[in-house]
Amino acid sequence: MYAVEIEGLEKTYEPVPFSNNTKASRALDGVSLKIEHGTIYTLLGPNGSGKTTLLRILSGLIPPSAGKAKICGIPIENQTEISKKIGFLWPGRTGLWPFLTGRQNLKYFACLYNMLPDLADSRISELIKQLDIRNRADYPASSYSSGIFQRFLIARAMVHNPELLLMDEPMVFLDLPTTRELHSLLREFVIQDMKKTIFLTTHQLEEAQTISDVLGFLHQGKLVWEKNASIFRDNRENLLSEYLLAIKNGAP
Amino acid sequence: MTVLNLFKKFRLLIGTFYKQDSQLLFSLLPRYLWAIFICMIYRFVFQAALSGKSVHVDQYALPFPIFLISGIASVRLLVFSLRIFEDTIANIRKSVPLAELLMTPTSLWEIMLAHTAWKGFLAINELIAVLISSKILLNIPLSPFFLFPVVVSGALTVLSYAGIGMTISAANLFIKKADPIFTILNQISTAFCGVFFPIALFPSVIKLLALSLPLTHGLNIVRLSLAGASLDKIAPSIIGFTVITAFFMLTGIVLLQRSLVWAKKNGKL
Repeated sequence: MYAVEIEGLEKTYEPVPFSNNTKASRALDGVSLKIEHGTIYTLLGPNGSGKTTLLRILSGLIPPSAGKAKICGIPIENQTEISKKIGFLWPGRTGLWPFLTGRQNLKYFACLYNMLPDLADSRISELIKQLDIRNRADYPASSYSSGIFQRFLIARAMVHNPELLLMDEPMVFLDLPTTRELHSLLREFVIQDMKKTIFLTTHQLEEAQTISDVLGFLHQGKLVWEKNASIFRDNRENLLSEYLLAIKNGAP
Repeated sequence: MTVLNLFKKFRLLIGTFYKQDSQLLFSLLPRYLWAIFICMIYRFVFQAALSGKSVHVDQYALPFPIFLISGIASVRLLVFSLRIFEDTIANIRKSVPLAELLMTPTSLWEIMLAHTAWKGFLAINELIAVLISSKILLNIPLSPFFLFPVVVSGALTVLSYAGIGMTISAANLFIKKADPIFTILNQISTAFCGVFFPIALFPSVIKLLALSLPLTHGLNIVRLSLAGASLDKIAPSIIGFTVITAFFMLTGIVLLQRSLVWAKKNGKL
């Protein structure tokens, strides 16, 4: 069983009444892919290629127009079960209430996941210890540096012990040292220690080739190619060429 | 620069602000309503000042200060309850992407209910604090049993305006241009629901409009209880107001739920 199985996924946004948006737009056009457990799958693609739409469909935020998708064998239509299997990270300095401490934020999200208070407390203590954020856990989130903030976001995404982390351009606003810190954290903590799966989207080629096991390229709603990331690791130019070529070939 | 060019320049500058307001009717209507309201309140205040008290205040046999204070205090209830959905969403978006909350097993309705409960508690507390302060500072007599009807009336006012607000929010999700309706409804309620003067003052058409809005019924209960009316006398008003609240709440929930499903399907949330 795969962590993610997608088959012929399509999404068309209908026109919005009383607006300038009078034409239907096709965001995904028959996307099929599979992601193995314990791997990092990175979806590359230019703006508007459908990356965020795909993540939103997988997380149950929007329904697909056609096709099927399963997470850990559970169809995405089963929203309640799916929400227990996935954690989510959005870009930027959002995702924590700034007036709550890190620990209180984690308790808040554990509460949203209907976790029992005792179970939540022990899980939060474990995560805080593993992510090495004990000394900041009782300070307000507004006082955190970007690196600490990201660690708490990972703790928040993992609080209900999901199988899959969905990350939509998670490093887009981060500086290089923080990005590298986050890369090693994801690889060592989420993949090696916790044995989870990560599905992320990005434009950043360096990030993609450093962190990923498998790369996919989405363009105009279609999955143009899928490759093992290790073949690009020694030569960044190769990935750049593949990226530009895919855009050129995919363009109408 | 010629006069014609100057005219064109100002036409362009004014036109930009006109486009910002986007809907001329919606930007002018609240101002006209406000003008009518100012005329009405002056008329009433002069009437009260000349005769010592207004005949209309006799509806509740309340002194003018407590009539006015209860009105002003109650109008605070609708300020937040009308926009409860929009404020909950805005409040969430400030720090946490809405999507992250929607992905949890906890529904948006549960989060909204918590927000309404907390804000409602604060607003009803404010109403009670104003009434108690008026007793202490202005030496206005208050019946010891005024609290129960005031709390019930406050809660019903909050819920019914939350229902109306959800209906407007449902429209806002769909057409994205319904925002000015919040302001207009707020001003209509403030002007015509007997906040500053009794609705008996109005012609029958406006009286009918006032009776269709929840604040009129909420204020009626507050003032009856302040006037020392027994529970037997207040009970029919409370029952009537409960029915009105249920209607507005159910309508709001059904329409907002439908709009949320539509917005979710089309990625517009």
